[in-house]
Order: sequence, then structure tokens, then C-alpha cells
Amino acid sequence: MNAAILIATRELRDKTRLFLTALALAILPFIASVMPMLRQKGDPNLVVTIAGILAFSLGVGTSVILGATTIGRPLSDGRLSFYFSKPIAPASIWIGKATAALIATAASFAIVALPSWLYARGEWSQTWSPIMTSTLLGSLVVFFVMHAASTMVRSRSALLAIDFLLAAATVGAIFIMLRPFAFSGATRLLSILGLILGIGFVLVLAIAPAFQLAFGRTDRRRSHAALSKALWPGVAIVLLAGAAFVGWVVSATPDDLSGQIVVAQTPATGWTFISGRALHRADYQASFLIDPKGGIHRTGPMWWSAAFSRDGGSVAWAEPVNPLRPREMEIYTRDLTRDDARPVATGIRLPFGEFVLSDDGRRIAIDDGHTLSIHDLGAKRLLFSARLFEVSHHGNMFFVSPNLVRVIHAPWQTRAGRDERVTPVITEVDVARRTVTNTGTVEPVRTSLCVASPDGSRLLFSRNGLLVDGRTGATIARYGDIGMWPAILRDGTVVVQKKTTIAIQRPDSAIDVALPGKGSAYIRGEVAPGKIAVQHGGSILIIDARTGVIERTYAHMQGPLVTWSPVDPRPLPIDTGRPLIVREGRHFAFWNPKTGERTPLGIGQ
Amino acid sequence: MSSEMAIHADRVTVRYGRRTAVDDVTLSIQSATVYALLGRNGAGKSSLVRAILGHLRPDHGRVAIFGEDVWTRRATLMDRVGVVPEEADAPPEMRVRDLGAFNAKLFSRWQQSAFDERIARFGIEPRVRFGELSKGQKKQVMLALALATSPDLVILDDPTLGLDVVAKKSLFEEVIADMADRGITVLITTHDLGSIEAIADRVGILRDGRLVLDEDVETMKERFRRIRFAKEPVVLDRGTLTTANVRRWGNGTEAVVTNFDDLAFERFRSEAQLERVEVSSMSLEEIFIAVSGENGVQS
Repeated sequence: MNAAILIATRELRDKTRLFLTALALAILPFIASVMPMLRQKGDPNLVVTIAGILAFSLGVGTSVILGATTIGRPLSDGRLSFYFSKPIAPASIWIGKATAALIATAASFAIVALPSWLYARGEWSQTWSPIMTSTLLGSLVVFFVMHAASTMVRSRSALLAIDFLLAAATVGAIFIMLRPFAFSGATRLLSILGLILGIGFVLVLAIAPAFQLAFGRTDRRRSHAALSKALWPGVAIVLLAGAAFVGWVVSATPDDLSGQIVVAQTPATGWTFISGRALHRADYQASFLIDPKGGIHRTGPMWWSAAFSRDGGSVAWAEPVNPLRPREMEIYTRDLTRDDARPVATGIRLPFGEFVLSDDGRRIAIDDGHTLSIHDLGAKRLLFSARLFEVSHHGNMFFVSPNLVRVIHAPWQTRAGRDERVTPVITEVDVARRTVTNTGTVEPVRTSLCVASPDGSRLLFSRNGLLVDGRTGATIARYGDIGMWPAILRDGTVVVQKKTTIAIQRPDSAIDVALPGKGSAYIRGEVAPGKIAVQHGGSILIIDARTGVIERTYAHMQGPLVTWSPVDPRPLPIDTGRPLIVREGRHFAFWNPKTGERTPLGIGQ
Repeated sequence: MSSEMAIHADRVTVRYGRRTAVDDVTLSIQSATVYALLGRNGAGKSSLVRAILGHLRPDHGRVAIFGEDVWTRRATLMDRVGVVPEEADAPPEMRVRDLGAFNAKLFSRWQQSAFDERIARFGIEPRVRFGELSKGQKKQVMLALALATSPDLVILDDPTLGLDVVAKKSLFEEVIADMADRGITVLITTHDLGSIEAIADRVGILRDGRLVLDEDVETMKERFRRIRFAKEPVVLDRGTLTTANVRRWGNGTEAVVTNFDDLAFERFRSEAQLERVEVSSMSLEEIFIAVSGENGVQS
């Protein structure tokens, strides 16, 4: 270590001219600020701006030059033997020289910055402090990178080609690693991964030259070879560590999800989509497609939501196209009738928006915020497009038939909040006739959820308790103040929550079922003829719709989670006998509503 | 390996890409001797010296200094070794006195007074930066640095390069001779064969990376002779005398014999009935030319 200090001291003595240059640059901002052409003489902001630019330029420039020359120049000039002819260990040579170079970089930076910082501390901390910290850290990286590059280039060895290939492979590997996080907009994970890789690479770049000097010593090509032999395995280890981290993050299972989770299941075939933030994995959004046997298919890079076709034969989702533009999406589809089917890119691009599949999955309607467009997925062809929405809106839509799309839309609340009333409009887009027709207007309602009858002929606005005609919007019935998640059954029965009861409104009669406790009730639908599943208070209640008796209670269970499409308001019958997705605590399972049997996921993987 | 050996190179090969600079060289240098390593430019001298100093790892073979592997024990061994490199390698920004101060903190047996005296004798101003010195002065500073470490072994790689005639004479007659007297082992590579001949105990000649001669100077000079035949060219080799560099000389022939022996030569002379024959001993330079010249042969 004494030898390293001795070398560092000696090297620093050679940097006198650099420090004198820095001193001259430190005075320059003050001279510039009193130039006659300036209106405000001695303006602190001007002094700080010039000093900051000079300090930044000198700091980075010094690290570039010293990185390229500290070892590289004496090595190519044959002067490194000066140290190797003395009782000095190779590591001491590197530590001494690198320390001197880094001190010189930091010192030259500080010499330029210090006078202006003392003159105008406030301006410094506002404008330059964050940049300067990055500059100093960046200079450290630049120094090591320049040293490696200089060693490689100066050797004029064929090894340079291999280095280039390995460097390209490293960049490729980093891109592949960053991709899942970048696509899912996981900025915190990107920072963590960047930190892991950054610290790892800096350590490798700092340590590898010690091996270079130990095994390459005074010979340029042997030095290059020794550096490469230490550098690339080190880089590989860092990449493996990064890959292990990425692998661990993306290996999250549905049971690892926490917080807000999106679950969609098509009762038609039993396929399920699950997406949400994974536990202990920062802001990683994990998504899964579960087959009817419970097999988990990890999806990627990112599905924000998925829409099943009504027949359950296909699913569509949107994936970001470019990690640098995460809001630009492309629609993908997958055939669910074949286990070995692969996702298919449709070539349909959209910004953030909503979409719905036709009942047979052959067509897709996309609402990009202003325009509704209808595409044929098989032919990858735009069938029709119309600008429907002048203002931001929310709404629902569904294919009445392959050629007819019905949209129920209302402008977003902007001022008065959730209690301001809006007027939903019902519009039909006819692809065959190429017409857009407003078929009806609903009376003003508070922002609420819109659910439809299974055939779409009636609409029920939750909270408002308003039942209207599905095409004209004409009011059919009013149920008063009801809960957020009502349901219309196949026989026309309307099931709503009214404070502490579940009201079952048949065409000819009405029953009120007292809930066992307080809290919202989510009416999930008929799980068997005349049997309604209601989620309430962390349990699933099975209620006989004819007698109003709560027949069974499944405690600590949420579900069945059968929101098969985010925008199609028509419920699907869930009494198909297929297992339904539920959640018990953190664990997802398939649940047989008739027997109550639960099967954990992962069986069919 | 004997502990008497200052340097032992065992089957050392150094390659630069496809080019072989040092080819399977085995070399031993006894302690307290002056060994002159000779060779034409590009023969591999500097590469061998770099391998001996542990500056470069041989592709094959190993080198020991004072019985210790120089590649693994270089840092320790360099405390006993003074080096004057072919190209002066001190940082050009350093002042001469700073070079001394730098070495003083690294070498356990550093003699500041010896350094100061030698620098003064060379007429070099200690305040001058190394880069401002002439080529010869740089060599002198490097020499002063090497000798002030009180070394057991001094390696001089072409130390006369850039020195004037007086300085050269001083180097050989005073410095190296003094080191030899004090029992310091000296390995020197030089092209100044006339000067080294009087001082070297042993000589090694490298040609195309191979050590083609490695012998005591006296023994070598005993066995090398130049023979000139005044008349017809004569076939000399009759199984007893080995020739090198046979060439026409006037109307006759000149041959260099590498294993000259008086008795054998007289027998050959009488058998061949030769009358006008001139036998002369050879200088180190002449032997070097015969061995490492374009038509040189391995002895």
C-alpha cells in the first residue's frame, strides 16, 4: 500500500499544469460576469452557470484523457517498465495510478466549482448539485471505460474484434434484461437493476486492470489479453447476477400478487387472465394466462388487461411495442382452442385504449380515446373507423353482431367529482352499412358501473339503480340507491345491494336477503340454476334466488372472478359446470361452485 | 538449479503473435560474473532480458533469479536487481532528484550519497526534468539509479546507446569493471564488442532467437581461429577441424575454425602438404560476425 501511495503522490505531482488550468477556469466565470456588455454585473446565476459548464467539461474531459493515458500511454511508449523494474506489486501500480487520476479529476472539478459555490451557494444547489454528483460518478465510470478501451485499441491486436463482439453481446444482454421491466413501466425495478449492473460493472472495470498489470505487465498485447481475460468473465458474472435478479422477478406466480389485481375469466372455456403487482418485486406487473386445467402460462412482456371472446375461443391483449414509448401498444391474440397455440401479433397499433372482441373472436373494436375502429383479425384489415368522441369519456361497448357494435359512452367527470351527473349516449356503428347512429340517450346519472343483461337488451346503472333499454336508453325501472356491483340474470331478474340486504327483483316478485354483516356486496351471477353467488365481507355466499336463503358460505374466499371483458357489460353465464377462479388469502384456485372443491393452480403446467 | 546461479533461464520461448523472438533458450549466469549477451538487432536480446526481469511472461519455460521464480517473485527480487533499460523509461516530468527520492522509498539498500555523487560526476543538474536530458544523460541517470540500489545483479540493456566515447570508456573501464571487482553479477547486452571483450567472463550469442553460443570468453577465443591459405582453395574439414564461414580470399581461401587445435592442425597441414598458411586468433567482434553474420554457423 505504501508503494501505491508513493505512486499516487508522484503521479499527482505531474498534474500541476492541470490544476493551474483549473484555477484559471475557476476565475473565468467572475471575469465573464463583469464584462461591459452584460446588464447585470456580477450576476450570481451567470457565474454559477459558466462555472458549472466549465467544471462539468473539465471533469469529464480529464477523466476521458486520464483514462486513456494513465496506463495506456506508458504501456505503448514502453515506459511501464519503470515501475516493473522496482520492488512494486502490479496491484500497487494500478491502485496508485488510478487513485491519482481520480483525485486529479475530482480536484480539477472542485477547483473550478468551489469559488462560484462560495459566491452563490443557493444557485449552485438549485441548478448544479444533482448534475454534479452524477458528473463525478459518471467521470469514475468514464475513466475505467476509457482505460479498458485505450488498452484494447493500443494493443492493435486481433483480440479487439473479440472484445467488440463481447461488448455488443453485453449490450444485447443488458437490453434483454431491461426489456421486461421497461415494457411494464417498472421504473423502480429499472433503477434497481441499473444499480446492480452499474456497481457490478464499475467493480469489474476497477479490478480487471490489476489483473492486466499482474499478468500482462509491460507487453501491450499480453496486457490486452490479460485485461480481456479478467474483464469479460467479470462482466459475465455481473450479467448473470442481473439475469438472476430479472429471473427471480419474472418468476412471480399468481400467488405472489398483491394489491390491485386484474382477474378475467371466460366461463365459456375456463381460460383465465391474472395480472397485478408482485410481492417484494417493487413495481413489477406480472401477468398470467391460466388454462382450464390450471396450468400457468407466464405472459410477457406485459399485458395490462385482456379481453376474451364471448365464445371463449380466443383472447386479445395489448403489449407495448417499444420500451422507450410504453404507451404505444400492439394488439396480440391467442387461439385458446389449442394448447400449443402461440401469441399472434396483429399489427394493429393503438395508444392506450379499450378494445373488445366479437363473440366469435374474429373481429375487434378499438376505442383509442377519440376514434372507434373495427378490424378483421384474420385478414388484418381495418373494416371501418369513425371519430365518435370529442371529449375524454368512459364507456362500454360490445358486438351485437359481427357487423354491429354498440357503444355506451359518457364524458369523464372533471369538476364536481363522482356526484356530478352525466348523460350516457348509446351509439351503434354498423360496419356493413358504414353508418354511425346515436340510438338513444340515458337520463342523467351519477358516475357508475354499467351492467347489461346477458343479451344486451337492458342496461343497469349501479349507484343510480336505473334500468334502461339497451338500445334506446329509455328508462324501464328505478331501484333507488343501490350498491356498485349489481347483476341482471338470464331470466331478467335484477339483483342489487340495498344497504344491508340483497334485493332480488323478479318480474313478478321481490325478495330481500339480509346480509350477515356490513360492507359492499359483489353480485357475481348464477353459479347454478336459481343459485346466486355473492361476494361479501371476504366470503362467498350462495343464495337461493327463489327463497332468499343463504345456503352456503365459503369463508376467506373472494370470487368467482369472472369479469371476462373489461368493457363488454354483458355477463356470461357461469353455471357451465366449469371451475371458476377464486382467491383464498393470497392463493388462487379453481373452485367448483356445486361441490365447493378447490384445486390450486399450477397442476396443468 | 544451483544457488550460485544469479540467473537461470530454462527453455524460454517468447512469441509475439506468429513471430518467435526467443526460441527455447536455456541460459545460466553464475553469480559474480559479467555475462555479455550479444546478437544483431532483432535477435531477441531485449525480449530475453524482459523475460529475465519478469516484465514479460514467456510462452514457454521459466526464469529464476537467485533461485527464485522471477514471474511470481519479481517484486521481491527487484530489490536486489539494478536495471538500465535499452530505452530510458523514467517519467519525463520527473526531476532527477525526485527519481532518486522515489527510489529511496522503494529499495531497502538505497544509497543516496552514491546516487548524488554519480549524478554530480556525470555533470547532471538534479533539478532538471528527466525529459529534458539528452539521450546519453538519460542513460547515465538510469545507471546512477541502478547502482545506488546496492544491487546483487545489474542488468544493462545496451547501456552505451547514446553515450559519447568518453562516457562509454568510463562505463566499461570504471563502472562495470568496478562492479565485477565487487562481486556483482552483470548481464549486459551491447553492440560495443571491443569494450566488453576485456571485461566479460562469458558470452552468449543470440541469432534469430536461438542461443547459438554460450561460453567463457577465454575458452571461446582459444577454439576460434582464422586460417588463410595462399593458393588453391582447400577442403579443410577432415573430421578434426570444424569450419565456419569458408570464403575466397585473394587467390586462396579463408576459413574460420571453431575447434582449433595445434596438433590436429599440424597433422592436417602435413597431410595436405600446405606451405603458405596463416593462422591468426580472432577478436570477440570477429567471432561474433562469424557466428551471427548472414552465413554464420552454429558453433
